[in-house]
Amino acid sequence: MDLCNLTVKQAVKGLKAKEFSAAELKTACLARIRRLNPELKAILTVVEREKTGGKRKKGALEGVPFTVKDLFVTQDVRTTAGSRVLKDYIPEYEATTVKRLKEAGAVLIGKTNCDAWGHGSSGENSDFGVTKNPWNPLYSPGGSSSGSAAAVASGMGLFSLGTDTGGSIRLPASFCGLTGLKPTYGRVSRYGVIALASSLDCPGPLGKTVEDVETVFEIMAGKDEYDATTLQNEELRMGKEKVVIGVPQEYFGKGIDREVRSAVETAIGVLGECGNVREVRLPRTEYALAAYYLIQTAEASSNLARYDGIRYGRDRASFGDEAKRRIMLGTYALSAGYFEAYYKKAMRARTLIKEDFEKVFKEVDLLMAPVSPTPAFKLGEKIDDPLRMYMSDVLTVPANLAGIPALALPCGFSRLGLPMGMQIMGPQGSESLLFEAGKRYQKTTEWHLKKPAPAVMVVNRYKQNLK
Amino acid sequence: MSKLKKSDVLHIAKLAKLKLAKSEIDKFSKQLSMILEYVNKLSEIETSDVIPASQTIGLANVFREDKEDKSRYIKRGRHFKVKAILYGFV
Repeated sequence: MDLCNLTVKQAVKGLKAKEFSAAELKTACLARIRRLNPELKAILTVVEREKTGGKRKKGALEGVPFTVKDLFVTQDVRTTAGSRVLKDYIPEYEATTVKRLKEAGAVLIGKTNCDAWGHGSSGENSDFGVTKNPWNPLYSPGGSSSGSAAAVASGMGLFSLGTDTGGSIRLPASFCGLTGLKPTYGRVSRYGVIALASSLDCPGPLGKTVEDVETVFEIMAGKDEYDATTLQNEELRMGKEKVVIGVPQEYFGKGIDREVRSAVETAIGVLGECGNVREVRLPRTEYALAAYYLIQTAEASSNLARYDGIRYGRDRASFGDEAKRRIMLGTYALSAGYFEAYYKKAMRARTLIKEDFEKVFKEVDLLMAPVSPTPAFKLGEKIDDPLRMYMSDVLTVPANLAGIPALALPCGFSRLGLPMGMQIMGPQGSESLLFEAGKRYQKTTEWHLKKPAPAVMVVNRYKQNLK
Repeated sequence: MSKLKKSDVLHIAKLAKLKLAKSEIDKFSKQLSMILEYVNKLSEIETSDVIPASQTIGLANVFREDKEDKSRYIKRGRHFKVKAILYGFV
């Protein structure tokens, strides 16, 4: 039995039934890392042994190995944020979300690679090497939680934590055939999460199935006294028998790849069987990306001001190009003479975009849309054109601007064999409704059950074809 | 408004405390100008009556009881840690 291919649900069941031990499961995942990581570059720091003082924690996730994006601060374990600035930074404290998962018995086995500071949609902005898509190593796994997605898809741990500021959980989840949740802003603590944009950042889980993602979310979520922007863990919407699904026309326009559109429309047909499907409009969608790249960069320029190389880390000369671009854009948008025209204007646009969603959720319960206008793109394809790279986020940023939750799940494969994903969005606090819909979808489809061939085999086959 | 001059880039770099190499100034001014050109799209929407959104979840005044909580002390043996107070530094 390939233990690394188990879902969290199967692993918990197997451990209880003593079909295998927690030690065997951990060893299998670490061996997978040793074998595939040199090629995939998904893991930056492996955690072989945990300082638990010998006591194993009991809980819902007892014995389940997992990884976290290197933006999550882990006590005594190096945390880099994917940047040379923090190359040797060893935190003295732990992120609340990581703490909660460890208290539930989960076992941390690695810190995953990511675009430095979360700045990116492809994994190519990491200062420690580019993560490859386990489905085809010539392609991007998506970003910025690139390593998290590559790790789960290739069996390096059974789930991972990522952050979604403008799509950074949903995009890699969809490029790697996984399920990923961007929670409602404020439902998951950001304490210990290296900040990109404080009003947009949402830590969340990536896993192989909706059930796994739901299990992890329930442990991570909830009010935290260390993060004043967290909400009480209340459900604002209960699950319903018959849901009304909205299809926002602006997400299916000219720029959407034919294969993506077809896969998502088929998925809408599948879920539409248990409810009504209605076309809806979100008229200010076309302005979301512009508003996002002003608000996010402005907040990032402020959050990255703390890295002065004096108290910890290296100095600002160690920032990469993308970090410098975003800091400068944000600084400009906030500077005297431009603040009203750029930052304030973007904040007003944000109010309108949020209103579009509020209006629509009076008519429908959920929205379904693609995550990305295209399937995974090749590494190197967009790296020289920053604006083109930013366009990858055009369908994901609206949910972040509005603070609403969105669940990404696999819904097909492109003719090149790359996974394609869709997202289900709901009003604030409606995660349980998203999970219900997602679970129903995964009961009648099998996209989420497919696994990539071990990456090394794919590379060898490619190399053979070149001879 | 969207074309950035070399002097603009140098000014921004100074505000952001970033040292740019001569070769970078040209590259960044081109890239940033392109991005600013795109975000100027926002001028198409009418927003004179709209309140700027500084957050999306309606929280305000999140306070806790102003009482001492001994469990928050970070202990080292018989001592506890406090933030450093440095003299002679600006």
